[in-house]
Amino acid sequence: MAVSCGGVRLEGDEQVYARVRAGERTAMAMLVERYHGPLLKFLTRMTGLPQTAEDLVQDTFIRVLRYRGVSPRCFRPWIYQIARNLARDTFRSAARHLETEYPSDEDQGDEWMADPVDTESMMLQTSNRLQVNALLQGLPASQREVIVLRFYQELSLEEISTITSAPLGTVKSRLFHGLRRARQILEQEEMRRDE
Amino acid sequence: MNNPINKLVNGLDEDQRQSLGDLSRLAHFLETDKLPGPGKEESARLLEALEPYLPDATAPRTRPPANWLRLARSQFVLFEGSFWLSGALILLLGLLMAAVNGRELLPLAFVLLSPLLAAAGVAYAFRPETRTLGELERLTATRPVELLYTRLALVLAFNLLTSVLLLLLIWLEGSQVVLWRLVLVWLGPMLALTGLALFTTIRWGALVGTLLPLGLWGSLVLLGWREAFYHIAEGMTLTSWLLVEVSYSSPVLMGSLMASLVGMGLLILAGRSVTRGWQSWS
Repeated sequence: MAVSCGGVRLEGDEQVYARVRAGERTAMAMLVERYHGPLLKFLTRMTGLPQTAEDLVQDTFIRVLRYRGVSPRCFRPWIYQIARNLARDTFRSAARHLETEYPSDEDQGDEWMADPVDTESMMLQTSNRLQVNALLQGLPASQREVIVLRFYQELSLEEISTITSAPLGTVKSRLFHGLRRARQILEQEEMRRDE
Repeated sequence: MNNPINKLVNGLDEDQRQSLGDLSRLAHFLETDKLPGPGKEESARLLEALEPYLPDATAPRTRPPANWLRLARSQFVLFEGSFWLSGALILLLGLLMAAVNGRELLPLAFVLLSPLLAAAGVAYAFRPETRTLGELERLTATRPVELLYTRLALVLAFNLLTSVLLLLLIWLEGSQVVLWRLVLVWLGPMLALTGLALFTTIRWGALVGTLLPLGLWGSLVLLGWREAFYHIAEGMTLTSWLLVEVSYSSPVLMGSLMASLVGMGLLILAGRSVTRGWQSWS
């Protein structure tokens, strides 16, 4: 059965990655061109820290280049998964370093992203970017992550399921509840502003 | 997909979509966040930083023999004294049996104990204390499957050495058993139990990897014991019955060949499960 890995390109990511593994510099440049921007945006939105996101993007590419195992069947969810896990590990070790209390297994997925921002002040933010950021930070991290991957990165729910290692049903549920909550926050803030 | 609302709800069930209502304001609000992408300079800087990590196309793809030896030597540290001691004890036991009644007892001990030694050795070599992060392994130049087979080869080489020495003792004792058949009867269970131990250790841990081959072999020995009792009742000794079975029984030989095939299959399966990354053995 043919497997679709998303994206319509003349040369698929998997082929480009195979060339990278063969040591082709131009293929590496192509991979960076394709993923530098999307990964940087993803990590910036998730961590809220542009400089950390930039470092994480570089670490992600280094991992990809040093990887010696079997090539992934689908490259895109794989590289996002690496980026996500690196970000999570970074925040976990930072939390450990600060001797903060460790979350339970169930909640661990929520602890690696930026702290929630006070949603009441959302509309006081000066730029659209900050307003959207405030809204997203008002969501539980697992829901925020799905919305960011779906809306901004345009990944399919199946790909998100692979990246987050969550069943497809859970991803749908997170998206549904996340959207409902986001809509409520937005409406509340608009009403508050009108008053 | 360009429709911002579709970008949000595509993939959701119809009920969920209806329950969410009109998401146009939310979609347009989210769309206002135009995060700038990296500039050309930033991308160039990243490429420069990545340059040293680009795989070397001129690097040899196959590992030269000297490297395999170095890899094997690096794995030696995982085998503590108890591992070598257990092999030495089996040999000592063989020597003792040879001194007591080598012609009859030695082949029995050889067939019963040697496969167990190999299986136990595998479970020992892949015990939890020897495990490292699978992710770490995948980032090294040595592939996890190479590490797996190197460690396995060390166990089997040691088992083979012990077995050859035991076989030498049997030959020196001038036992009536046909040696090539004895080797085959030993090889089948040894490969099957080793394969089972490796596969189960990788999938379910060292405890299962030890108990399952041990239990299976124990059950087979008990079944054989029952069979032996019929012959003992007819005035035959246990060891002489075993010698006859090893030297003349075609079903035993066929069974051993089948066991060899199953063992080889399990060893390959274990290697594949590591190669495909379902599960790093460590």
